[in-house]
Amino acid sequence: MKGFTLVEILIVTAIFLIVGTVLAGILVNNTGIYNSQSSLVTSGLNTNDAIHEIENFTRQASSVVSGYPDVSPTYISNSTTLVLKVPAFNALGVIANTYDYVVFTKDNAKTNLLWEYIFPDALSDRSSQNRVLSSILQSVEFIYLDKNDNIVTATSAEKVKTQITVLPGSNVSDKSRSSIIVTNLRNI
Amino acid sequence: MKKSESGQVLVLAIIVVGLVLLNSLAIIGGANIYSQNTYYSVQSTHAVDLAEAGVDKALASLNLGGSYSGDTELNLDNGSVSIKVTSPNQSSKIIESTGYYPSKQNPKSQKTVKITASKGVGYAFNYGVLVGEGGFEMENNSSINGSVYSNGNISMSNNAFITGDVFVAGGTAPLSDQQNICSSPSCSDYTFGKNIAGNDVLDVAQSFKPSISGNINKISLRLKKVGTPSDIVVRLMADSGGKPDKGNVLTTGTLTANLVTTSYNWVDITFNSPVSLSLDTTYWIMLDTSSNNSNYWVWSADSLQSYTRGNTAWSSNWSVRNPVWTSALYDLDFKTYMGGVVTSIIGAPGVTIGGSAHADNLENLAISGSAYYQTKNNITAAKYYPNSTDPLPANLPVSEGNISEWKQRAQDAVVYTGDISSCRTTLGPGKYVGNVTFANGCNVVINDPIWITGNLDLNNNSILRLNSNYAESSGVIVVDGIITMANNVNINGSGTAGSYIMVLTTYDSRVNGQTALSVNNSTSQGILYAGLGIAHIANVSHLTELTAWKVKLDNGVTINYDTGLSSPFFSSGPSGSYSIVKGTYQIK
Repeated sequence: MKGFTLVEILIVTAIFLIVGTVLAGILVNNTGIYNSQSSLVTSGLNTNDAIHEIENFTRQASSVVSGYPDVSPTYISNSTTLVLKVPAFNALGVIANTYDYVVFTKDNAKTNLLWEYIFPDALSDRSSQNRVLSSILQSVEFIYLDKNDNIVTATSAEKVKTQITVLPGSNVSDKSRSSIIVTNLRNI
Repeated sequence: MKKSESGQVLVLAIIVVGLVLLNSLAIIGGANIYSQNTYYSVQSTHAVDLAEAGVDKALASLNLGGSYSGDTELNLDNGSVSIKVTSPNQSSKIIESTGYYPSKQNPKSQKTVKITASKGVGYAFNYGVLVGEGGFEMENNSSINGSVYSNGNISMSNNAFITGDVFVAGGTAPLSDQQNICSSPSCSDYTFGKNIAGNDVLDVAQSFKPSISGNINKISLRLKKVGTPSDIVVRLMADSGGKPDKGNVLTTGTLTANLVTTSYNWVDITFNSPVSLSLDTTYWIMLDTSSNNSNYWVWSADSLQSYTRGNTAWSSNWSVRNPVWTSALYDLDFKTYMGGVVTSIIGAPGVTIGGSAHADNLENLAISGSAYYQTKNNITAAKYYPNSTDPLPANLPVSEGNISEWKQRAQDAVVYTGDISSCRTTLGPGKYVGNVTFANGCNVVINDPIWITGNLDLNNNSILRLNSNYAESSGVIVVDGIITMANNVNINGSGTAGSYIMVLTTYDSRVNGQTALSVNNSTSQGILYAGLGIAHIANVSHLTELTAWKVKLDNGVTINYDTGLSSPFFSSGPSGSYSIVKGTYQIK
């Protein structure tokens, strides 16, 4: 009768066990690395996108305003909220003396959300917007500077320094990540 | 013979290796996405920077002179930029610069920056004939092919006619009703439109109480500016508890920044809609600015606070739910002018108006269009609109401040003393202390600005031409004395469309009744301006633009006006170079 000798089975089992343990170790490790890397990617993408959006509008802004709307403001410019006045435009170009308002703010209730609101003027071709730029926000800080990098009040700002920090992932080894950008207002 | 188990181990080995590889690929893939995204962010910023470099290049090229319409592709560090320049009008250029990273053929990232650059200060001449409070007199059989806007009465004698629309603004009282003017040494500077010692002094208001009830026609404020702030919205507001009532804005007007210079001068502001004020009631004049530490305003202020019928206050924001107004220990220099003076268009047998007529009182007219009036007598029209509100007074397009600046620049160039009475090939720039007379076919090339302290006499076929290197810019000649143009005299621009010479006299005819500007049997393709003077036009075939305090047309004179003067602009200074117009920066 053909069969396996005891020695053969023992050797196969031993090899199987050793290889299996090593494999399991690698798999567990990799899953950990994979999770932390993909959360890094998500947070990185998040921060980049958010910063980009803020930079884009700050550059085109004609000034930081104290609040929106003008009368009884719902959003007031401070260290966690940025309210910008941006020239409105249509197919022919910029419309004189007409402005759209863009608000970047940390949600008061769900503090991990960073919101972007766009309130365009009736004549503007810009579309209104109401979206979450980041859902893993740890903190956001807006610092208002003048041309010489002195800190000034929001409405006198010629530059805005934006710092966004996102929450670390669920893994123990994860750290929170920050991005900082300083943008000049070009239409001031 | 023993069976080999190697086949199964191989399969197992392949599965293991496959799993490990898969995991590694997943990690690498994720890291790759992250690095690509970061790379994209950098590329995107790079593209914007390239685009902005393109804008700088376009500005530099435009300012070198000649014409510059763009570059298809310019290679710069690690990328390229393509620039397109268009000219929507004489004084500005639109620059669209697109940055490509790494190259235009194969861009990974591309951003466009669009911006408007302007060469000078434009002045708005909206009406072919603009007449001030002196009014307009047309003698028998005289005519105008075009429209007229007058701040004073119009009288038309037998068979005179105007082919276009005619507007007479509700009369403004000649003297101010309320005013405050500081006197040395208690004159101070009241700065606003910037952050001062931690406070945003942005909205400033001065209150007053009229001594009569009636319409308010215009106000005058004594201001100067620092840098280049933009136009200000001026609001007339009711009072609430000693502060401007944000819920009761009676009317608005615009303070045109161009009319304010860096030295104190009075600037007029007219309103967009008529407002009736009640006597002895407090009203507020409120100026609403935004903060800018390099471009702001200074208001001439009286530190003795001698105006007893009102006071001054400032706020950071007049329109919030509970605005905070803080009193200032000054009274600001201002004047208010009420209306209520009845103004009319008075015709005579055979007088016709081709378009519509708008005035408080219309008499003896045959109007082809509609008639807008409060009172009428002996008129015919296609349609009648009684109880129409009076047209609002029109602001003169050039201010005293502008004239002072031109005079200063002329004086800074060079000063000549002595009359000039023989022909010469060029004139200016510079100040000429004396009279200037050209006659007998003299053909003179003009370089601006020119300031003549005496009279300017142009006779017998003489021609003034703006230097052709002005291209689309216009130039100005300021005369303190009387301007006479007689017998086939011609005033021309540089030759490029939209370029004009403005011949301006500061002579004040309001008291002595003497003519400030006399045009006889000549053609002017320039802008004739006598803001405080009487313009007497006889036997003229063609004028481009006429603005005067009072205009008299002699018997049989026909004037053809150019329709629509696209706003001419005057070089902003010795350099007259292109610079970016704030507020036009756009990223696409």
